[in-house]
Amino acid sequence: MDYLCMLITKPPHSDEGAERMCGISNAARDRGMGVAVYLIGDGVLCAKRHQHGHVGAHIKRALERSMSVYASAQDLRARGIAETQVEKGIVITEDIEGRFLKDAMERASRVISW
Amino acid sequence: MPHVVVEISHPPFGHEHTFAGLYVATACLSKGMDVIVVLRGDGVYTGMRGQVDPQKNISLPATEAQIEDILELDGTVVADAGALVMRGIESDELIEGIQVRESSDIHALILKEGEKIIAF
Amino acid sequence: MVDGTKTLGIMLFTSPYGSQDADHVCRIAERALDMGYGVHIFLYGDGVHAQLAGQDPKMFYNVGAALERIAEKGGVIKSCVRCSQARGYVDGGYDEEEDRYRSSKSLDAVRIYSLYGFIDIIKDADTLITFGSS
Repeated sequence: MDYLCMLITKPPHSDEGAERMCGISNAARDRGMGVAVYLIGDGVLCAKRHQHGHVGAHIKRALERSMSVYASAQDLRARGIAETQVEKGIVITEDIEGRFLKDAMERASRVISW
Repeated sequence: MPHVVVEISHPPFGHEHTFAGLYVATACLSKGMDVIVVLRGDGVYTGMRGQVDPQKNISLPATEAQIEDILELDGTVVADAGALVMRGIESDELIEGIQVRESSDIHALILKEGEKIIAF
Repeated sequence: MVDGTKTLGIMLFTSPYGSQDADHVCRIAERALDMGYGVHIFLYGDGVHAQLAGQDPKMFYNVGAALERIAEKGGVIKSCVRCSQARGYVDGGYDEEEDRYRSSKSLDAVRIYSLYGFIDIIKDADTLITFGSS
């Protein structure tokens, strides 16, 4: 199966990067592609639960649509976001770089970084 | 040779993203790669025609000429229809040769053709 | 360890310390090298500031030191000559033997090069990621 791997560094509401993630990841899923989203830096703010808005809704829907979403444990901790404040289903990892690289280098047919 | 997508999300001149991205697109074309330039968000301003000597007026490279070079080298340039409407830009205000596409078509194009995707 | 013939290409378009981008580039590059991948980095636009020698941040991740570690581990780091010249890093012509433009201000780990250094990365890298799009 074709597989899209996305690395997101943008916060959910003040920048278009996270919005773009929603559009293209949905398009990939519609085409039957597997999708994994990796949130690092300010991108981990997309993982915050109880968000009202397009990105929060997308993350929930992405998880329902079997997309994998990973968030950097260090970036979450630094921003004071505990595991209980993260949307259920998002995988928090101490080795986001390693996980991303394994996916991007060995599995993905498309890699996008914003 | 990989198929390359260069995404431009900034208007020309305020930041270096636009002309830096267009240089990359031109250089890829000159090496024989297939290139699609995607103008999205504020990047659609880069598609507007009628620039008057930016080099002379504000000491910056003419991005309109860069787009024309890319089209001349058989590169493809597409602009997001929704982003154009939002900014009041009509298709007759665009550089000749730019294709206007819906966001969903652009996403499909990126996923189909973007073996290497470079965002500016 | 993985198949060492695969290469990761990375473009950095923003300066260090102003954002986390350069930190992400270096952390991912080091991890990739530790996993056995090849790494080629291109510093473009304001990203060329990452090549400045003598960086000494007190409370930040040291990007200069990280680039030196990456080069020691076999990573290849190039920066755009036009962007470097505009920002005052180039103080000599092209050195054929060293295959780089001369600079007394840049880290030895970084080779100042034409934009075609990046085009080769686009062409040859198995995977390309870019930082600093907005």
